[in-house]
Amino acid sequence: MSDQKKVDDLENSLKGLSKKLDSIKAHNINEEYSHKSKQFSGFPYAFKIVSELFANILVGGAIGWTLDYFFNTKPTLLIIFLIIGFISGIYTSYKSSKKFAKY
Amino acid sequence: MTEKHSPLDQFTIHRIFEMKIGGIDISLTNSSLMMIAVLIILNAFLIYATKKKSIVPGRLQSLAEMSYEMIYNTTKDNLGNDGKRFFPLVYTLFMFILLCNMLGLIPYSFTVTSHIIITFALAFGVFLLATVLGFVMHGHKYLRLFLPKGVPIFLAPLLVPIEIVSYISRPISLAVRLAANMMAGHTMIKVFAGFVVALGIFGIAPFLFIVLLYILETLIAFLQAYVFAVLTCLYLSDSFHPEH
Repeated sequence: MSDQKKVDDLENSLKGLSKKLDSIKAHNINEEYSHKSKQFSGFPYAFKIVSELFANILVGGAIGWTLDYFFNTKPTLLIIFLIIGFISGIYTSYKSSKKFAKY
Repeated sequence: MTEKHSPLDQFTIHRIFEMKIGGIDISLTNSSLMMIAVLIILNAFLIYATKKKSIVPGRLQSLAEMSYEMIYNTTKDNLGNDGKRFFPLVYTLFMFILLCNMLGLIPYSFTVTSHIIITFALAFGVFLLATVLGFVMHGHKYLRLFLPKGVPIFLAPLLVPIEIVSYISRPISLAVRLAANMMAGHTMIKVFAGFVVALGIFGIAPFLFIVLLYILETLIAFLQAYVFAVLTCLYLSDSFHPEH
């Protein structure tokens, strides 16, 4: 009876130990990889900021042009939305660079 | 003659096999042939590389495992544990774009990703998923993305159009970045290749430059695929947490 209990206890402590070991191993591996992936981590943000500056102006112009086409107000909305596009380009890249500063 | 050697000639699409169903042109072009080749190579590579499943991986297996782990960690870092279910999508996108870019670097092949419609289709898929996901997870609160909390109401007429333009520009920026990078690099290589012929014996100088350019292009081919994957994660994470 007591032998059985001893074996159970031993097995339990063994399971606990291997669980601990696994978690430590997983932690170490994660740390190693996150360290490795830092090498390239800056590039995506750089490309993101540059292309956002460009794409926002493009989209602003496209929206303005389309609305002009439908409402027959030829240059007015195009100008307004181009300006909005410029502003949002700067604003978005500012927000992206704020996020980037965390890394 | 001159037309054939134009630097932009490499991007022309021509039909290989004409097909029409109900007035819709679904001919097999060099672009679609290249995409089919990419899919076959990709599947064959991954199936063959993971067939053995040895504990000490061979060259092919470690290549497959490295790409898997890299994208897995990227997905986990950007989306958290909750976003792991999007890993298959991100991995597929990454491998497809990577292989399209890399196979496009082989002379006489065709760069699929240099066409903005292809990259836009990929980017628009991601955009659509992020939008639908945002509305499914947050309901109408997802519209908070356009007017963050704590912003005074009189700023709304200015801020809402800005945020809408910035939201719509996401797929455009994704698509334009990839296509422009690919097209610019390939055009530049072709222009310098023209110099090699024109300069005769002194053509060795631009030739050496092309060699260096090719190394850079290989790096860019990898980097742009990685950038696409990371930004897919970032846009998906925005639909998880619209307030940030």
